[in-house]
Amino acid sequence: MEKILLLKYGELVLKGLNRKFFNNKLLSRVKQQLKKLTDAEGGSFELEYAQSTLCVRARDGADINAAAKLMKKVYGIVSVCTAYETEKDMDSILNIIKINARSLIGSAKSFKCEARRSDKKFPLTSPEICTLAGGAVLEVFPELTVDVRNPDSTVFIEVRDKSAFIHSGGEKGAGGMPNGTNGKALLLLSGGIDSPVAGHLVAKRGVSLDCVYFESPPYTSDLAFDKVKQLAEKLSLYCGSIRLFSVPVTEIQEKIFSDCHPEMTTILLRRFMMRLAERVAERCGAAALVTGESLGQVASQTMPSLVVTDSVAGIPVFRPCIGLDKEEIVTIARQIDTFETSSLPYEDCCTVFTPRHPNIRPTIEQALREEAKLDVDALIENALSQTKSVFIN
Amino acid sequence: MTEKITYLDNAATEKPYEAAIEAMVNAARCYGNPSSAHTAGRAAAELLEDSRKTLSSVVGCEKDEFYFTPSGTFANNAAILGTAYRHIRRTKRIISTDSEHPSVELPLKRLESEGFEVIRVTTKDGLPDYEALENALMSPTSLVTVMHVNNETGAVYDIAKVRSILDSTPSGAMLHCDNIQGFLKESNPLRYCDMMSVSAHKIGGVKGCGGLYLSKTTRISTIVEGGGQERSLNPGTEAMPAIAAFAAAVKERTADSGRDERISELKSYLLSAVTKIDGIEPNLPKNSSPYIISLSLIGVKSEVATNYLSSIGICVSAGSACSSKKRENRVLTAYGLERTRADGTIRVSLSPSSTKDDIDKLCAGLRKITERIIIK
Repeated sequence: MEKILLLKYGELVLKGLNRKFFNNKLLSRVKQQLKKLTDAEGGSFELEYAQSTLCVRARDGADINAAAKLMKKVYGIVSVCTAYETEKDMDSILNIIKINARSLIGSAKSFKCEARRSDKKFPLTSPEICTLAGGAVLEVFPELTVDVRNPDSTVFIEVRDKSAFIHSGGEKGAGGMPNGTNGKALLLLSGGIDSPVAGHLVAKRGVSLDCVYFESPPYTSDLAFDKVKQLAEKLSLYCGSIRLFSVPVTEIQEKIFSDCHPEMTTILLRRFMMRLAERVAERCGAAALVTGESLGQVASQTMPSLVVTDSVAGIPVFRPCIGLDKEEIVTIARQIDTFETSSLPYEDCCTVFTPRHPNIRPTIEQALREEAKLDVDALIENALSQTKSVFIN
Repeated sequence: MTEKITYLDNAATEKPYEAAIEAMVNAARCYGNPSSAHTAGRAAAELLEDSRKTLSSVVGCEKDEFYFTPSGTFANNAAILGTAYRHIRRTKRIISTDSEHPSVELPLKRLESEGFEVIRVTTKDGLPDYEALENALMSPTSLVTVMHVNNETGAVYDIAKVRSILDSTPSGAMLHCDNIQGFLKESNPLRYCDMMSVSAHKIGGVKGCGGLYLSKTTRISTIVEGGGQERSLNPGTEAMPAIAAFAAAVKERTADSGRDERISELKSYLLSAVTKIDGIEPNLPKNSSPYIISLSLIGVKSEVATNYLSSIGICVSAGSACSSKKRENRVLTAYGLERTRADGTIRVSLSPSSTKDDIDKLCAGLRKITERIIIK
């Protein structure tokens, strides 16, 4: 008896002629993740694609449970199922059920069996398989009741071409499209709760990510950068390697602070960020920007503010959190395990020169009038020249 | 760590005395377990008892009334939880203040979740509401726990007064004092207390050692089970290097008899300097320790200020080091600061080795911050 992972593909099975491209990308991501595991802990994994399912078998002591955990973070996989694999004969199937009844049933009080038979030559029909399998479960746990409508637990028996799989259902995978199938975008990663979620939502559609972080040394600390790095690391578990750029905006902030109207501080900084991000995107080959903005959440995210910010961006800006409430964003942040890190208290650059009363209805004309007091191009070039980056894999 | 830093975060921890480091190293070499009966163990036991003698004499109690603990936090937890559980049948009522250190506040929260009633008297402007305390003590109560020196504002709470209120009311409560910031810095409140917590690294010892004074007549339940060391109050193998360093630090500190006057002068010097800087307002409790000075930078977030000061080699903390990993201003709000002012408050804390030069450097740094980023 061997444990096996059954990875069910999502919407890419609906692709037409280019399906192979998507399959290959997904396969290479799966291989890359499993290699991390075998490099660290030894063993190997064998992959076999059959009937819209990628089967992963552990060899030489590789850890199938750790693999299952990793596979739940691979975009393109909708379900991760740990199953017992056995020969295609009823005695072996029943034997597996009896031996593993506890792990298949858990603490359920009622159950049912569901059989699927893609090998139509198998001597028993699906209902017949279910009857025998149910009998095997009851032999071990006679106190259980059978409930075919609303069972606490279900035992699945899948008779496939080469072998049979027995399991109690799959866990939800990350879904979406495989990494690298939809170009690259640059995420403006702040260290807050929203931007990692925005990154995840875009990356889930097959987009590769790089990230840019704006810092204000010496007013922001290395701890704040470490926090952002940790967030990028958590994101990279889903979306693959990330280059994290950090751009110092202290000089820009000081100039805005000394020369411009205090109410416009935040919006002017946001415009600089967009310009800088676009230049970084150019440098790393990203075709769009991604931000964690959510309409109306803070002063810089009102509709007029977004219009003023957006007007300096020469490439598309994706804002996948735009219509989400904070609570909804937090739910996703918890799912992708970025919430705790985002909640660390270190200040980012946006909080250094925050005006007491920011303008929540700025206009493009106002912004241009204020920017006329600054040497925008020189400030941009100077900040870009001090850009640093780290590679997160 | 660079030698040139200006260290003004002594309430978080002090630089250990050389004598303490030496005692720590020697104790590490004297590696026997004090519980062992053989020669090596007896040598360690002797060092343990010598250290206890030093500590108890400075604390002002008998030798067997002083217990070594792994930290001040442990001492506070042991006193609070131990008293609460010991008296659970008589009463589940405890009185404290609204500005205690997390090592007091969190055990109290835990007790509340277990059905205890906790009454927190207010401490606005650094002054506990003694009238409220008196009223609260009219009912049976197991414990009153009040800190001596507030770790964020430097306010000194009058433990003698707490005792006299306690003695004139029928609650039957024990008095515990968290004296971690006041030990060898303020007058010793021991004679008013049934229990008192201290910590080594706040007075030039090393981390890993605190102490609890427990008067002979006070009985508390133990909160950790183990091998029975420290009469089961802290029942693990004694941390001899930290304990020996604690004793050495205490000797060094008490030998420096003019320290409090020096520190008071430095505090006055600092206050007169910062009042000349626009945008900085000190928070001055009526009765305050010279060792801790709370300063509000109007319109600047404290973390921004501490980051900037750190970049020029000056170490101070935002609020308190112990709560700086969480966004909370519980203590400063209890003191009466508005949220925005609390957000911009830093703590400067002195030690006997602080100098006027340190203060000058700090003021120069503060001046730069206020010139550059005080929000309009």
